[in-house]
Amino acid sequence: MKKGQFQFNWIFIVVVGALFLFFFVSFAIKYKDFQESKTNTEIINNLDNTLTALQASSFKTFDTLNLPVKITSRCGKLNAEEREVKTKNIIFSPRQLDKKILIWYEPYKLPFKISSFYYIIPDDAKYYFVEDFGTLSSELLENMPEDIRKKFSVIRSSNLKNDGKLIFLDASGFDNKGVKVNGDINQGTVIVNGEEKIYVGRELLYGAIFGDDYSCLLDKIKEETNNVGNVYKSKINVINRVSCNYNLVIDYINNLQSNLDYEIAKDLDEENTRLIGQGCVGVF
Amino acid sequence: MNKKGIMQINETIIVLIVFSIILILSITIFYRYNIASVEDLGNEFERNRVLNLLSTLPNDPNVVYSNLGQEENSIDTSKLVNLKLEKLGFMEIRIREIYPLNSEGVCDASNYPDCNEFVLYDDNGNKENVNILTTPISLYYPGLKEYKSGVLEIKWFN
Repeated sequence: MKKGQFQFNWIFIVVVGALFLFFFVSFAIKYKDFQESKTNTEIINNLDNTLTALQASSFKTFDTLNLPVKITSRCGKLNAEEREVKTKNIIFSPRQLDKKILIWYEPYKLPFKISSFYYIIPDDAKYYFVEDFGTLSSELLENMPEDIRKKFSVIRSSNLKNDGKLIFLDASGFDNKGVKVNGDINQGTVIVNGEEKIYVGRELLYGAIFGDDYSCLLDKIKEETNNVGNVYKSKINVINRVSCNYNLVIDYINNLQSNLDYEIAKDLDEENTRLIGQGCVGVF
Repeated sequence: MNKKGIMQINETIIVLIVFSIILILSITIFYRYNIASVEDLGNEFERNRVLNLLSTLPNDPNVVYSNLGQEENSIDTSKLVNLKLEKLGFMEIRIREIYPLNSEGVCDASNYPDCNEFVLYDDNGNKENVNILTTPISLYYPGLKEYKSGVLEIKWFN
């Protein structure tokens, strides 16, 4: 073989070999990305389906789950890396979820069922109720599942900790880190991420404590209240009889739709009970 | 370059071409398999979603019957008369009274409760394949104060 031909063969082999090598390596990388993307999609869809399946129960439920990848939960969106699934479930949780998580599901009624809330808490999370006086912390703790209650400690404002989330109840020293609650178990306002928002019912107060996106989720809940309120107003049109006056119920529902309020919900509940007592068809 | 050398290079090029053709064919088959597996996965997600809907819809605040604020394991038919569910994809959701069957027809404000079928959602998206899932349910007629047996049917199109 001549020297020129020998060199040409080697150059040819090197070029073609490099091309094939590049092709196979890029193919392997793309396939790996594809499989990861597929797995992430499966994980977040399965998580969303698992959460949705809890709605088959009308009672509060508690469960634990091990996440194989980091998941981001952000106001109706679940992400695993670049994959995203939109969920209708109302999930109050920290934005980043990883490894073992505790899931607490509870229906939200005002006074009729509006939605179902999911509280997702990382297993290694710590929460501190800062309370100098009052009983709100014990009222909040008593309704929690045992495993979640264990994550909470009650401390004084003079003894603040920095290894967990601080929830200021009846206490001073709030500096916009954590959550500040102004109200009782039924109604009040919370300051979360520097924004002051209302809460109605302990379920929403838990939402403000556990969730990083309270403000956005509150808007969704208002929208749900509006939708369910319309369903009940529509039901009244169907069940309305001359002998039964549902006008007050309609007024209360209208008020609830424009303004979430515990007292209105209570009045609505009483009016519904009164109507049932009169022999009318109950609205809810 | 001598004849033997040229012949060897030609042979190599032919081998490369054949190899490339086989490679392209393999990759095409592989990609098709992958696309099919992704479609299967999509269908599986959709099926799970529909199964979830089948089990959770009877407890949805828009349809569940509640007495003094406590939900019962029944669907409130008076809520269904004007109810239209939204954004559920390509499916059809019907609730049908099956026993005791007194009247037939799709319910609306004018014929309720003398009817037996409620259409909650209808968007077939002009798709031809249909999967049907059903579950038995209890129906409550608040005006009549009567419970009846029914079936929740979800037709899912793809």
